[in-house]
Amino acid sequence: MSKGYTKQEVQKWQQWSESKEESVIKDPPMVAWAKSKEESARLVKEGIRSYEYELSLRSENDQFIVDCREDVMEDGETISSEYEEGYIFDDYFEAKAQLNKRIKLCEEHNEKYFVTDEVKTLHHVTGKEIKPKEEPTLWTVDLNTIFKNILFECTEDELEQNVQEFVISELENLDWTYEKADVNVSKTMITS
Amino acid sequence: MSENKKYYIGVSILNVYEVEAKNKEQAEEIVRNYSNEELLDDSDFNVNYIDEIKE
Repeated sequence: MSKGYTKQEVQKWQQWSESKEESVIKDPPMVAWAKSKEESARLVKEGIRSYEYELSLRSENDQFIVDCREDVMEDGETISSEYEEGYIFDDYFEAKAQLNKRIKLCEEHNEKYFVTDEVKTLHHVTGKEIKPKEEPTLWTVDLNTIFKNILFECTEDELEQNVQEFVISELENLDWTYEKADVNVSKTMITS
Repeated sequence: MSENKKYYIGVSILNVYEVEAKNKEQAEEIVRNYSNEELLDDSDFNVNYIDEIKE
């Protein structure tokens, strides 16, 4: 046999349940975010608010960084700016592809954007060509160290030991000159 | 006991290293930074000539 509930008890639970629902609706961050989105969409629709994007590609410590700054504009004034998470690449062309992807997104949404490609500008100014990332390959490096006409004054028995000591001491203060071959890199040190 | 003499001596050290690098310059730099032990390890060390100076 089930227990019967009084009208007061049911009313009390209903009030409790409604108060819980209200607390969910009143969850401050979520409601504020939803409202701000709604409000923003309305302002954009009415032509009061617009978004502009500053897209940039720059180089730092052999890495290429694509940044996107979102400016919220009202009546031609920037009311707020926010950076999206930047993308970091080892290769310029990969970074450029990401930049183009972001440009395409702006175009699809009819959003105004400005592009700054510092890397391209710098290479244009210096007249250098932007090269793709170089993958490590195996190289042969030749070492050719020559000591000429070293003067020793000693007995014949001491000669070998003296030559060894001389070579070791010279190696600690190397004075290199380089000669590059077409295929291999050749290093030559000449001491006269 | 043998007496001191004067000698002109020519010495050469030859070695070949295989390094992984992005370009020639980096390959060169890697070898340049090797320690003396690494430079001399397995090297071909030659005394090319010994010329005694007669006075």
